[in-house]
Amino acid sequence: MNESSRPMNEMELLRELARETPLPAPAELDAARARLVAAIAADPATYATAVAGVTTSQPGPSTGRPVDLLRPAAPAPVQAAVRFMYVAAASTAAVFLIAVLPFIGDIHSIGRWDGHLLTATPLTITLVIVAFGLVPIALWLWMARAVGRGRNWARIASTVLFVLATDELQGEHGVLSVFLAWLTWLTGLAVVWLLWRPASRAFFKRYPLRADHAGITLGRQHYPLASRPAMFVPWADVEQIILYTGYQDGGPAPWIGIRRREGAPALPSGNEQAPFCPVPGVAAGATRRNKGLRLDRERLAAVTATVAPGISVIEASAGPGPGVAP
Amino acid sequence: MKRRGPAADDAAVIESSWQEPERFAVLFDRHAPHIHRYLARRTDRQVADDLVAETFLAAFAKRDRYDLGHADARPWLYGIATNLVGQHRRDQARQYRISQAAAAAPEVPGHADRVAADVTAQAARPLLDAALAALAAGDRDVLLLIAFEQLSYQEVARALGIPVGTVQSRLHRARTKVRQVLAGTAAATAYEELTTNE
Repeated sequence: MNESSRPMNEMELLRELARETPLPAPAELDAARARLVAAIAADPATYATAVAGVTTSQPGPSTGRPVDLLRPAAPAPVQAAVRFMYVAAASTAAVFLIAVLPFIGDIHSIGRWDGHLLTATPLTITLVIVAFGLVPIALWLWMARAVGRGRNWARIASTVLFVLATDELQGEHGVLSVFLAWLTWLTGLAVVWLLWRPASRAFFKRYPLRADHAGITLGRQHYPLASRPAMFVPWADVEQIILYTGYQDGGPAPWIGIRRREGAPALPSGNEQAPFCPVPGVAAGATRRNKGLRLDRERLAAVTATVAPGISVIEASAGPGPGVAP
Repeated sequence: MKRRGPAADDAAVIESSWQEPERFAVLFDRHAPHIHRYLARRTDRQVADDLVAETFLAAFAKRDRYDLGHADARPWLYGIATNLVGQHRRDQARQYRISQAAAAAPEVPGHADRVAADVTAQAARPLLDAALAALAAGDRDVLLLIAFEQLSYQEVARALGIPVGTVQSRLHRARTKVRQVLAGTAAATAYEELTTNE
């Protein structure tokens, strides 16, 4: 039987059938692409990335709106790390109960510990031991809470504490105690690994300026005469974003200002017209100097166009002088 | 440093999407047509329209878990798409049971409708559909990823999260069963032709 007359085998039949289905026309994928783009736009992490690329101080609550609410949901590795930290807290508690409680019994019965006659009262000693035992448990819980909130200092502190805790492995006796100590240490190792994964990085980073699905966050800034606390302006309160040149410390510098809609809640401070801002209606408290920052203007415009299409980003300039009167 | 331009591999695109999520759309533009075609082959075009979106939404949601050691993300996407096909089938079966809309199971078209001597792919389609329907889901996934999408054993293993040895054994089992169905029908047809001629 020659090749042409040979019946197709099952794989050839399947491949022949597969050829009946062509690639879709580009337009057929438009709806699916639109859904993906919408999901990207709605993802809190999307615009948490750098609109301005230099980290300055950490934002704190302002205008009655806790800035943490704007923090994107913790990525999966951070969530896993937090769960591991609670496990480690439980494991540490178990080690404490197994290793320390028997000594407390000895102290009460014979007034000696490790061969030494005790001069303090058993109650005092017991309290000291319990307090020392609770410290690492409290540390685990504290770090878990702080890490879950995106505190970078907690990420660093957790790592340092883990390194220090490695030394503790030497002092454990008894199969169960050693097992639990190693379990805690391995859990800590997993925590450190998860916290420093690339996917976790953005969650711990602070930005001096952030635009996301909810609004604009202006980071805290220190000026010689007036510090500005971090401030969040929801898109509903934003009318216009103004990029302009301001003058402070004797020289020009790029500034960003937000003109808020009429009726927006008053700021805790800086409600007067921003000096040097050529657009009226911009409160001084709703401006920030961008000196030393890499403001990604295209990205800011793209974010705004995506999540708040009616709001414009304009560049305005005014020469040195008193600016626009309030 | 990973490349970031249009020619950047999939892993580089996914990595950059951790910081700049909009970059993930590059992956869609690159692979959505093929994933859509695969889904259309396994379901129908309307369902594929929906499932291709679901595939990339799921991939976007878990992009931070992507193993950057794999430059090509196609097996990963095919794996997600395959899972969605399975989910779709289970949903359909559940709806079918609930509604009890159909009075009888769909019949496999009889062999009298076909001529065994010149079995074309089109003519064999009902038979193949029946044979594929009779396969275990895992065996079917392996067979179709290889036959339809030309994936290698290693790529199928990555897509489905199974060892390469399992891919080979599943493929062998699936091919054997499909072959038996085709061969059995051909034999029956030949017998019928003989008896008809008498």
